[in-house]
Amino acid sequence: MEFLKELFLYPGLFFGFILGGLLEGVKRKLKAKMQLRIGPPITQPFYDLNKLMVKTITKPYGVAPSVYLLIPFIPTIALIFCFLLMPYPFYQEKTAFSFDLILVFYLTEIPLLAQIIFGYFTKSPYGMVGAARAGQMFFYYNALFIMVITTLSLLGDPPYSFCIKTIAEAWSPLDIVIKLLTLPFFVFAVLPKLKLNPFSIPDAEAEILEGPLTEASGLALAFFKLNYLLELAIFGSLFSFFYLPVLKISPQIGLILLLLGAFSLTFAFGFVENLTARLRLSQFSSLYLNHLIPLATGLLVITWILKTW
Amino acid sequence: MLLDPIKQFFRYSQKRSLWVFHVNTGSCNGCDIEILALFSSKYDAERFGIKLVGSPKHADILLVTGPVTSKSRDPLLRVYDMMPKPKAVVSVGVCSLSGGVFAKSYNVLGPVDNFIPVHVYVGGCSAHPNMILEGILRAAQFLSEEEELWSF
Repeated sequence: MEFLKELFLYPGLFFGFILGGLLEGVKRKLKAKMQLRIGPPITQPFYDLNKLMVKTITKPYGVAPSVYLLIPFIPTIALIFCFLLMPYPFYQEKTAFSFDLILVFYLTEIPLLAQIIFGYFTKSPYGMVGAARAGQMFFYYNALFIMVITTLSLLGDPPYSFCIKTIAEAWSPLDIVIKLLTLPFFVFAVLPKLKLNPFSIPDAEAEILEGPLTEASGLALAFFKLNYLLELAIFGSLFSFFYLPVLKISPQIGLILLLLGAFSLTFAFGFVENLTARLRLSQFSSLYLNHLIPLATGLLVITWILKTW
Repeated sequence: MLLDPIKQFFRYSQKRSLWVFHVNTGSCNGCDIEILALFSSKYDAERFGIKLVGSPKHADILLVTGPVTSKSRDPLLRVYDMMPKPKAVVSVGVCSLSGGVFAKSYNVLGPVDNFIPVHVYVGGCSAHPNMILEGILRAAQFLSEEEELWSF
């Protein structure tokens, strides 16, 4: 019973859904305000999701309906489990789960893999191009993300634990400096993961309509949108755990700080999204391969030297 | 009886989230530019939850501009079939209503409502963004009236 409560209420589905929806709502509102518009209400993502749930499904010819719904549904389960692997206040004290960062990293990749499979599976040319672009980008930003989490795993005691709780509790002066240095790389790894500008290459509306989700409709699209909201909540929470002393203070203030951190990250993402135009795939790969990944590798080596000696 | 509040909740969401797909079946682009203006800072259709989408499979409302021509008839019918229910159609501009200045041209087959059901007509050459906005909001009423919820 306790497990079901954690899975569906806090810190599972309900918490993630509400937090993700509000984050997306704030992001859209910020975008509107920056363009001198009133913009949609902050609750707009919830209306969108509710509406999609009651729409009919128009699947492409020759596609099995069960598989059409199963592909977006599997990542939803993976992402709900992701919340159980993070040391949320009021939850981390009583759970038996280890807060494994590698597992969180793998589970957060499942939505993207599902989108790539969906893009190819539905046989839409736009879906296929979007899926191919998402697949190409996948290797670049994940290499950067691995560098960031490996660097962060060296902090705290014991090192190489890849435990989110250990990293969140590492606040020595050296840890703070290293954490601050990893912050830009974290942002550059998460922006393309969430397909936000300037890295919204797989969803480039003007060229390839809705990318891998072109053929998604009704409940299938609702699941994809839900996955996106859950991803927003997960990365917002990860940011708070890594870069804010959420676990060093009382759980009540820790939870408020965690939410503030998540909203700040989304605010920053919304700001960047508005100020930048979409890059080409070649520019994206050049930026990551020639600049960001070598710099992040250098930071990893320096951290390793500092921590070992 | 118990489901009524849930149904009302979903119907309210349907009216607050209107995803629009735009098809030009042969217009001069005047109405298309007015539709683009609808999403700019001045008219800000997004404040009503209206969003322009790139795929008809995501759309609730179809905006059609221009008269139907022999080349655009089949794509229009395909796009209409692709849209999931509940759906509504808004015919924008005098050309899509009657053919306008293009009526009786060699390649013009007729107004939009000869081919697909149209729920709201927005006149004008070109149609004013405020009128298009009102047309979309009126079409939202049809979304919740025409189809039964949970029809899948």
